[in-house]
Amino acid sequence: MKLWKRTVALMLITLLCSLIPVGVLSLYVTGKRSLNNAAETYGRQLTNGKNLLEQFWDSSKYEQMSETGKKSYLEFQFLRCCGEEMILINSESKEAVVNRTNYNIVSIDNLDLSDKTDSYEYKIQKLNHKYLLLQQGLLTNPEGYEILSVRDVTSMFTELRQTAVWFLGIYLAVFCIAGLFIYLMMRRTVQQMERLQEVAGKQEMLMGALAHEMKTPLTSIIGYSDTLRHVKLNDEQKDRALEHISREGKRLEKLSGKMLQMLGLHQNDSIKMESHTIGELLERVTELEAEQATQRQIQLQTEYEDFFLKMDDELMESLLVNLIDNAFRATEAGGHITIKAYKESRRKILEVTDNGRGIPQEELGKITEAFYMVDKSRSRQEGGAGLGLALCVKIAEVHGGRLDITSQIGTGTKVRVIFDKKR
Amino acid sequence: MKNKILVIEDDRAISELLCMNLTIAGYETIAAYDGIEAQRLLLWNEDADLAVVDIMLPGKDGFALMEDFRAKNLPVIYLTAKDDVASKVKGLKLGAEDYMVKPFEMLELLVRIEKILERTGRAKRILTIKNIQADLQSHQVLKDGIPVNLKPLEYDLFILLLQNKNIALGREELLKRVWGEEYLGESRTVDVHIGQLRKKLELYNEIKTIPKLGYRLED
Repeated sequence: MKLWKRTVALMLITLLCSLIPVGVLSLYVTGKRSLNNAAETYGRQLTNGKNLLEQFWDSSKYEQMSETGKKSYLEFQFLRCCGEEMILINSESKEAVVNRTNYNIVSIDNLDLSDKTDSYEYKIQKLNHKYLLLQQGLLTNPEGYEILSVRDVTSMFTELRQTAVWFLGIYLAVFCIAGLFIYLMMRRTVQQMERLQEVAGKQEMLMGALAHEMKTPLTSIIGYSDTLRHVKLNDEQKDRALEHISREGKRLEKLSGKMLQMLGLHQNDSIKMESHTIGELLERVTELEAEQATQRQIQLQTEYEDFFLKMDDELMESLLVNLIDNAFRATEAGGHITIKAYKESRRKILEVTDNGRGIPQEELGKITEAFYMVDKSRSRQEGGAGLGLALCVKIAEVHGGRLDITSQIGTGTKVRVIFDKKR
Repeated sequence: MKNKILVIEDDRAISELLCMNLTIAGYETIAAYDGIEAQRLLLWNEDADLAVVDIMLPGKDGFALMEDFRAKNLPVIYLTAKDDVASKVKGLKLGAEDYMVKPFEMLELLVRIEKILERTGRAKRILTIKNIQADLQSHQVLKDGIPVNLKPLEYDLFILLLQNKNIALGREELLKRVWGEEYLGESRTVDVHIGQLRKKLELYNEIKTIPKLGYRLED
């Protein structure tokens, strides 16, 4: 099972484990208390009846009566003093003398309510679907009789059952909501973790690519210098070796420069955002690239609407220089490169178009990855480090923009830097 | 006749470095800069003795090329910047004779090439310099056709210098490879044996003392 599922399950079980005992305990306590209250009320009524009966009881009169008279006297006195729901029982025969309830006594032997410490002692008896609260009081006068109080407390139990249902409903709701929240939270955490993992994986790939990019020129430099030291070379060979060392050294320097720039982009405080006009930027960039353009016999054109853009002008310059350098590498002598700046439905767009050899469709998605080169050996010869576009993407991101590259083999490539937000 | 070595490496600088050193060490080299070109070269050079192959190549990578090498029964040394164990295992399991990681020591590569050529029976049997011929099979050194009496250590030393013609070998290196790792003698021993070789073979100018480095046999 996945970690997040396990965590969610564990948390829900914990919740359940705490909710169930709390619910059961609270139900038990409420039930017990209401029963005790009822027992107290009914017990008081029983005691009152008992006391009344004992007060009104005239033993001397009773003694002189006949059997039937005694019986009716007993009945009369009981009816006068004790309310309904009570039974007068003969202690010896264990039979009801007067019964004012709807129930018949079968046996009271095992009633056992003789605890003297608790005056309101009671017992619950379940009869069919009814719950009966039984209480007993011994009469001292006349002797040999006892009063049994039988009260129907079914409503109390139904009420309790209802409370339990309510509790269950509330708990279920709490449980579901908690579960949902935990699930959502876990999912977010896990997603973030996965994203981090992805980033780490990318970083690893980048490091691998970087190691490769650094090792290749280093291999040449070390190899040629060792060869110069150990091997007898003629002058031409010596020249070639030195040439290679110098060129590979420059390649390393370029690579480290680009790497430093990439690192700089991660430390956001080194970026100074200021409003500059696009025209100023484009003029400066074309000036920078003019020499290379004449060398390569490539025509460099600029067309722009002047507008303000909030940017770090050094970074933006580097972005454009990178794009133009890429265009140079892809374009043969006699070709032309156009740099445009314009607004289109409130978006600000910078565009570098060349009529060079173009990029294969299936490679388009990969070219912005660090160290990805469509034609590795050719690109190296042209002095590419494989970091240019990756850097451009980063710079565009820092400015709230993105890169959009369209290309067709043979006709050329168009790279647009699109700033969606109003800056 | 020289041993022919295919150098398949997409980085021009490294390719040229390999070719330069291998040529000087007495091999014939043919370079290919991508996988497709390598396949074509393989067809034209049936007589190649060994291939030094980079793994990350445009066109067809070094691992994929292995099939072609195996079809020609050509021993392969991978020379690559990929230094993870998985790649090494893969390379060797595919059937490469050796796997070296960039940056590499040229001297080490030469030794490995030599060893593989010996192991696969492709090494040249007879090495020559000026008027001297060394027959590796019969362990004989002929000067103008007349056998020269060399002691075993002198012979080993001479062959080592001959195999690394034009490359300077340090005294420590020579000690290690002729006398063995365990030898505890001093490096003067090498000087004495070099002196003997110079005298017996009359190679006073050819066996050069390179200050701070050691000795080099030049033709």
